This record gives sequence, structure tokens and C-alpha cells, in this order.
Amino acid sequence: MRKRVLIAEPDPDVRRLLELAVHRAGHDTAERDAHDGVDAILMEPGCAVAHALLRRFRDAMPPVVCVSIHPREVGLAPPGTVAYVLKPAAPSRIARTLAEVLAA
Amino acid sequence: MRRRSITFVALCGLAVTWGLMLALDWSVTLGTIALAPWVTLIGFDLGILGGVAAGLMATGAWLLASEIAGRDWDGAPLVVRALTMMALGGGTALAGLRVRAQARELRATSALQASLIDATVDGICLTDRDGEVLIANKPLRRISVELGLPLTGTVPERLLSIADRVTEPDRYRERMLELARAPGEATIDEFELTDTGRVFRGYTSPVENGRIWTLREITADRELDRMRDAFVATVSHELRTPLTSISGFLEMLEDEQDRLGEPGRSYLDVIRRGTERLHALVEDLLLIAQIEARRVELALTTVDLEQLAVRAVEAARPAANEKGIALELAADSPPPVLADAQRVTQVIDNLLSNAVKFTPQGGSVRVSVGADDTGSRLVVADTGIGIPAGEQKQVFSRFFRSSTATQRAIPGTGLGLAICHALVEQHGGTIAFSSSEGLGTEVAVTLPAA
Repeated sequence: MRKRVLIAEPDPDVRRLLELAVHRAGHDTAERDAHDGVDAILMEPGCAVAHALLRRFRDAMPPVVCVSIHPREVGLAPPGTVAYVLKPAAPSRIARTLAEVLAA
Repeated sequence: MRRRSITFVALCGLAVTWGLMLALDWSVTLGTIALAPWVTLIGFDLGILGGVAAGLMATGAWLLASEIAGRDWDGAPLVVRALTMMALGGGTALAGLRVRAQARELRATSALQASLIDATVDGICLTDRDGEVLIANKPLRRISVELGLPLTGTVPERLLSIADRVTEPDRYRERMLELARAPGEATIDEFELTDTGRVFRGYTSPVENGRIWTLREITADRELDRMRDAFVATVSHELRTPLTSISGFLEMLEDEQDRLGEPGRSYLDVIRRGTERLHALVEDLLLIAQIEARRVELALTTVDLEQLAVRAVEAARPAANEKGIALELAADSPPPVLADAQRVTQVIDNLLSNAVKFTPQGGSVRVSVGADDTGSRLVVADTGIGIPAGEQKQVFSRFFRSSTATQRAIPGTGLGLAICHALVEQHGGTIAFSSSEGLGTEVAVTLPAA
């Protein structure tokens, strides 16, 4: 079943790449301001968009996959993070991680 | 006594002696003996001409006294006496010149020494073996006032008084006590003040019956280090975003490379290689920044060094084969070591990649692992271009590139060995390097036993 993934990424090119990865994993992307029906979030933690998202989903956080320029040790991963991928990650790798998360 | 005043006193002495000669009716010999010291004094003070003149004058005085006393005198002995007196004055004049030259030299030397130790920016003092200050230079006195150090007591005692104001007071106290206990050791320590953030590095070195203490402020160096690390970290993080786009869309293109045709596919290869190099550079930059900020934590487990070496050699084999380099591994059952397998693999990979990169076609690279006194030892030896002796001290410095590498335009960032060095040291191991230009290079790593 196709699921909806919300993307929080400040860089438009990388954002497009993440969208391609979501489609490759066999799922759809959610609108930026979506709230209901979001099954997972792909985010660059620490960016402004991510902060806004965290506030929006404060009560019911979907599983979060971080795709970040910062290593995990920096401690930016928000609560609800189920996978952490360091950039530059191949879209196939992101798609695989996302597929695993959504299948769980 | 100042010069000329000696002459004045001697002239007075000469006059008094002459008076006594007359009054007491001294014999010729006694008179000569009594006048001689004044002549030597004048000669010493006034130089050769003055000394000779004083000799002549004394002879004249003696002659005059004899005349007044109505005593007989002979011409020939008079000449002998005059010459003796002049020789005496002239001789001591020579001695005086020499003594004064030495004194001048000594004054100049000590003035130079004093101005040298005062002109340096480091605080320096000489103490006896107990740590009591014998000589201290101006910068040290200034730093002492600025730090609020007491002006009495031994140096370790004075330094201990600010223990509460440094960043790691317990370690600092312990070190100061160790310094006081072992006056014969050369040491280097650093401390940072919590209130002002000023950082100092203290050196001690034993000298005969004492010790030289040097205190150097390194606050500015530290600040530069911090700025450089922050810069490196920021740059390498920021590079990840465009790198993600490049490598991500490269992967997308690769999926469609059948439609690109042969030239297009070869262009893709170029982009892929460039991207991989850029990626490796970003990773290395970030890792070195993390290591230096002490943010790399080792996941220590019992590790079989031989197994890691076998894997690393296999990983390096395609690159070695491509260059026709014979790559061999000699394992002599090294005992297990306590290490972070991923980081040690990184070290071996780096060493092997260097060895293959810097060895010309047809050369050989030999990896050997075995037991060492304190654990295990891994050696990577190649028959490569080597590094000139004059540059070998810098091999573990960041961004160091040997002239042999740059002349041949062999690509690299100069970070590999710096990373190896930092990682091995963090393990409590050692890394040693030896190289002969044109013959090859050998890097030996030891890791502590599990």
C-alpha cells in the first residue's frame, strides 16, 4: 500500500532528490503543510522547516527518518527518529531505509 | 673605584712616600721599593704612556730626594732604575688594559643576556632544585602580577595558589605536586584560566643544581585552532548538501546510462570519480575536525588485527593490480588488540591506499602483522617514491604533502597520515615512519594488547 511521506529539506535540489527516493520506494510525498495522513517524515534535522514540523506534529509524531549533513553524534535527531542517514546518501539507500521503516 | 681616582690616590701616595723618603732618610733601595707600588697603580690606571711617565716621575722623585739628602748617585744605576721603573709602569699598564677589556666584555655579555631574557615574550626563571627563584625575567614578573601569583615561595607553591582558577583544578594540583617532586625531569604542561580564558603552556628543563621554568601564553594559538576547527567543520558540513545533489542525481543518471551512449558513459565515470574524491575529502576533513575536538569516541572491543589486515589487503588489491603492484600480506599470528575495528580498518586502508598511490608501476607493497612487546604490530612497507629526509618531520601534520608527491602531481589532501596518527594515538598505540627518497616508505603501527 502506498503511504505518504512528508519531506522537510531546505535545499530545493536535495528536496527533489528525496522526492525521487520516496517514489522509488513506492510511496507518495505529502503536501508541505499536511498534517493528517502523514505516515513518515524525511527531514534534515536542525533546519527551520524541521523545527516548524516538530511543533506541528508535537502531539502525534510519525516515524522520522533523518537525512542530515551532521553526524548523529551532534544530537540533532528529534524524538521519534527511527533511522538516521548521513549525507551524501544515495537515493537508493534512502529509498531502502524508507521502505524498511514504512514496512515495520 | 673609578678610573683616574686611582691615579689621584697613587699620586698622593707617591708624594707622601717621597716626603717619608726625605724625612726618614730612606736608603736608595728602600725608597725604590716604596715608590714601585704607586707606579704600578698609575700604570694600571692610565695605560702604557701613563705607566712609563709614572716610572720616569718616580725615578725623578728618587733622584731629587737623593740630591736634597746630599746622597751620591751614579749615572749607570740611575738609568737601570729608571728603565726598571718605566718597565714596571708599562707592564702593569698592559695588564690593566687586558683586565679592563675582559671586564668590558663581561659587562656586555651580561647586559646582552639580561636584555635577551627580558626581550622574549615568554616568562623565564631559574630556580634551585627546591624551586626557589634565583633569577626571573621581566615577562615572568609581568605575568605573575597579571595572574595574581604570590611573590614568595617556590615556583610550584606559587603556581598551586591559582589552582582554583584553572579549568581542571584537580589535575592541575596533581601535576604541580609532581613537578615539585621530580626536579630532574623535563616537562610540558598546559592550563587554562576559567575567569579570563587565557591559556598557558609551561615548560621545565633541568639544569645543573636547578631548573629553568618557562611560561608561554598560547591563548591566541588556541583561539586560532578553535576558529580553524570551526571553519573546517562548517565547510565540511556545508559541502555535504551540494555533494548530496551531485551524487544523488549521478545515481539517477546511472540508472539511465544505457541511453547516454559511450561518450556519455565515460563522462559519467569522470563525474563519479570526482564525486568520490570530493566525498572522501569531506569525510577526512570532518573526521580530523572531530578528532581534534575530541569528539570521536572509540568503540573498543577485542579485535583480531590479522583479520582486519586481510580484509584491507583484499580491498586494496584491485587498485594494486591495476598498477601492476605486487601486494602481499605476511601474518605472524598477532595477539588480539583492544581497538575500535572500524577506526583501525580506516587506518590500515589509509596506509595501504598511500602505499599503492605512491608506488610506481611494477613495485611492491608488503603488509606484515605480528606480535609486539605491548600488543600487536602492523607494518606497511612499499617500494615507492619515498619522502625527502628534510620533510619527514612533518608527515603527520595536517595538509602536509611531500614535494615528491606534488612534483608528480599525485592527488591527495595531506590528511590521511594525520588521521592515522590521531586515531592510533587515541588507541594508546604508536605510529612510526621511515622513508628513503626513491627507495620506499615504511609505516609501523602498534596497538595495545586486549
